[in-house]
Amino acid sequence: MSKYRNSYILIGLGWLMLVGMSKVPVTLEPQLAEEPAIGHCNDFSLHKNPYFGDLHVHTGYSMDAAQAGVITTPDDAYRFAKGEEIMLPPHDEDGHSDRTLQLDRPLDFTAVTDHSEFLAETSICFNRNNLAYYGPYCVTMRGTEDGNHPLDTLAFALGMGGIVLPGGEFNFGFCKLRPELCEKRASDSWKSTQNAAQKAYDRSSNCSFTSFIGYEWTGSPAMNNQHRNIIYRNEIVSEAPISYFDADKPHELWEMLDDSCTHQNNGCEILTIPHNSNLGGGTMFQPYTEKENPYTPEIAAQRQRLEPLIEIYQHKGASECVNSPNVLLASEDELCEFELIVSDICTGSEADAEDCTPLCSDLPVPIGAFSGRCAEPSDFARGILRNGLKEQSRIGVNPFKIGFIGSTDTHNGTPGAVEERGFKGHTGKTDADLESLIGTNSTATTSENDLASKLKSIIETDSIKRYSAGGLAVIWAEQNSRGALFDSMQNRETYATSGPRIITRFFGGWHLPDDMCSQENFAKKGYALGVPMGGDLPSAPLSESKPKFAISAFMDVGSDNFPGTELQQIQVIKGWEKNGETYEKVLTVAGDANNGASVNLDTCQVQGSGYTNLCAVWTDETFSQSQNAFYYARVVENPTCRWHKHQCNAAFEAQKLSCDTITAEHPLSACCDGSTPDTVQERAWTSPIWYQAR
Amino acid sequence: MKAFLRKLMRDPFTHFIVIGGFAFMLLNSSNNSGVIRLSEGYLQAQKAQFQRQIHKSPTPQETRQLLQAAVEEEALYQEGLKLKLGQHDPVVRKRIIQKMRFVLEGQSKPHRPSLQELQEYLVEHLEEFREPVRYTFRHVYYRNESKIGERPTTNYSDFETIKLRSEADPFILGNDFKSLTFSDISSKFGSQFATAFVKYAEQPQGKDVWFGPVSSRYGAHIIKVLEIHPSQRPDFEAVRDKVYNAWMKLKTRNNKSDAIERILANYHIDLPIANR
Repeated sequence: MSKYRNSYILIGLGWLMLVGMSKVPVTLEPQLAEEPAIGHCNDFSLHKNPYFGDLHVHTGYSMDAAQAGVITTPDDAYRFAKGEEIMLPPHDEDGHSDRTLQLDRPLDFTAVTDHSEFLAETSICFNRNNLAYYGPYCVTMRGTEDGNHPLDTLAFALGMGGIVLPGGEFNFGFCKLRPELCEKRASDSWKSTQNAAQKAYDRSSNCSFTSFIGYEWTGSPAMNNQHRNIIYRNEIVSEAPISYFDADKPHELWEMLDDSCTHQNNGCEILTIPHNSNLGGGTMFQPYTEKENPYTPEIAAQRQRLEPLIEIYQHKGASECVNSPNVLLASEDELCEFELIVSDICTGSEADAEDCTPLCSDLPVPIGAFSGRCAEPSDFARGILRNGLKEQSRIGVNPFKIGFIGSTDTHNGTPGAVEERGFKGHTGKTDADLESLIGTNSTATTSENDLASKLKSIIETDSIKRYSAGGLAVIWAEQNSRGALFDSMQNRETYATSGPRIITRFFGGWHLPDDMCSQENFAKKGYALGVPMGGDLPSAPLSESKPKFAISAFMDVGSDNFPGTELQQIQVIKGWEKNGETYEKVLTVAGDANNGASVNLDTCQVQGSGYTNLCAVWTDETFSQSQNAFYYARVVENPTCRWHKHQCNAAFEAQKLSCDTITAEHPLSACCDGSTPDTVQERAWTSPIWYQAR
Repeated sequence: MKAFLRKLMRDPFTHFIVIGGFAFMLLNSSNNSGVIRLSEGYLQAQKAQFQRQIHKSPTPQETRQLLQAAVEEEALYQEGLKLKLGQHDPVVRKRIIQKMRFVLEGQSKPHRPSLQELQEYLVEHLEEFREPVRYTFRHVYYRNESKIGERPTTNYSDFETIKLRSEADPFILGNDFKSLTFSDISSKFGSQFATAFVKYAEQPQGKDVWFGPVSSRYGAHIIKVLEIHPSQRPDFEAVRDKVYNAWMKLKTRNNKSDAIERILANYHIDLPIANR
């Protein structure tokens, strides 16, 4: 199956660049539905509860998912999130499939976020009841089963033409010809997305599940990722989702969102959550609208208001930090080496690894970061936060004041399907079996050097094996309702996990007691004497005051089928600004990085023990009141087998294979190519707490 | 006789038989002559597969080899079919049975249920759709069970409880929980704890007294059940979708087994004597 995948990506991205729809967002009259008041839910707690969810979910309404044979609807995705079983592609003609999936622990909340681009075309071109289904546009859009047909090449070539041009200006699409038909289709899909969310929301006092209405804006000019999910506070939403063809720059998107939602004064509220900044190529977090137009305090404030969070982890990798010595804003931190799509950044010295990733700014043409071809540390969370401190000094507003969440970005309509053991892929039939999931052996080198291959290498990620099962978004809120969760997202009282349901709290303050970890009322003290994750430290009470941070973490207790893993350590990451330069450091504040825990690679059994919970109160003795700073915590589990190791082991045992004897031609030889580590240390990242110099 | 022959020659039925016979011979003979035709699309797919595995485009010679191999495989496959080699092959057999089951399932789609059918189904299967029992409770947590020491396992006096609480550790989810189901408790404390908890809570004297220690992955807990909210009769509208799905699943399964029954009815089944 894997041979089709690249073509799906090519065609998908090609058309994404090529075709546009013109829409004027209009706001609906508010449809009043009862929003559970604070205190209405049985689980209401003043000191808040952690809720686990997924804010990045695609279904068959997304063009690239439909191309990969996905037929799930938003309804199906919400049913899945609540614990029901669904079928995965490939489906037969009756929609049947013998591949199924079910969560062993339902989620607390979910947002279905299908691509706003091509909503109408997808609805038309994947439904045989439409005449247009048989037309040339739809035939091209669906691609071929083969994946290497001249038709696929045509889509690819056209796509390349669109990519290098500014977004939205190339429009050969079906909907250009029949806009009246398309607008209805797009609006039907958008309505049924809303209806599915409305239906899934539990407004009873059980508050067992919260849904959010949302969509994804998929701008990727020059193949550099700028994607953002738009999440609505409630059912009062814009008439139409905004696409890359309506607004081809993030600041235009925010402007349109404010016009069509925030400024309508009808209760409409949104936030945007960028993701995969690891693939942004340095275009995602620049403090300017155009190079010659640096952010004004107004634009910075708008960005801070509308974009309080970043999706730091999902199936296309982590965006926390990237390593390299002597490269501006890069890190030197062993634990950054976790589910990265890119390698360490090249420094140009002889010590560079052979597979190092060049800076996008060092390439003759800075395109194609989406494939991991190049990267910029300024697009990873640490670099973003550090640049934010500088902007704070420059204009008095920090446009990059971002808290953290994780999600899956599943294209199967399977929110929260993050379990490594038995991971079934996230992109329909293109990764429906182990062979396609692990891809081709990376040690077999390609000798292709023609133009087409070069162009392809700009678009393709080298191996799906680098992808992971994705992560979760965790929100600390008073109760599981839209209002409470949305407030906490705006306040950044959130954290990201790479999948496990680790529970962690993080408070900062000047008067936190040193013995907080042994007091029963940890959270009460934290709120009374400090600020939670996502907050700002108030001014220091005395000139010699040092801030204290209290961090508590409990391991994921797991389920019967998939028991949780013990913790190894808690780290605090500090970034600060001094004389116009920024710095960072990583400190272990609880646990033990050398606790001796390991994994038996033959059986994936965990050996040695860690901690079921960890807690620490840490004082920043190097604190200076004149330096802007941020602090966040990273909670790290003991090592476990990565998903591919679990599955390769099982397949090898069944087929009596071994890495010692397997030939390079064997379809499973990528199991042994060493292109990704066999073990991982799953983790949680808390949103930062900021200090503003006085 | 001549008249009869003439009549026969004019009879359309004769034409039918004769033309049909020729057609049969023609078709049959073209089957026997065994044409193997490979399309351009097939070639492209083969080349692409080659490229994936070997990481380069095939040379003209390699392309010829690819085609040669494909022709050989197709010919062997056709001959194998004629010799019915698939007949007793366990892999082929399994695959055909699997396909047949899918075919039957596709044919077994039930009609859309009426409102009344769904309501009746709910009444017949009330237990499956009941709202689960919910528990409101308080707990005190200790990282190490040794802190609880040699104290009794139930009925702590208020004095002991106060003393125990002063030595307790903070639990990250707090100490009070309202209206949790068994699966809520499992996901917060683990299923080992949840099972022990429910077993205790269901005892007649289980409410309003401190009880423990109950252990979890995190350590030890002393618990006090404050309220048990009995399982609720489901409201039809609230569970309508679930009832619909369950109804469809059941009917599909029934239709499918009926279809298998009908197939079985066409066979005379001869089992070993002991199993008849």
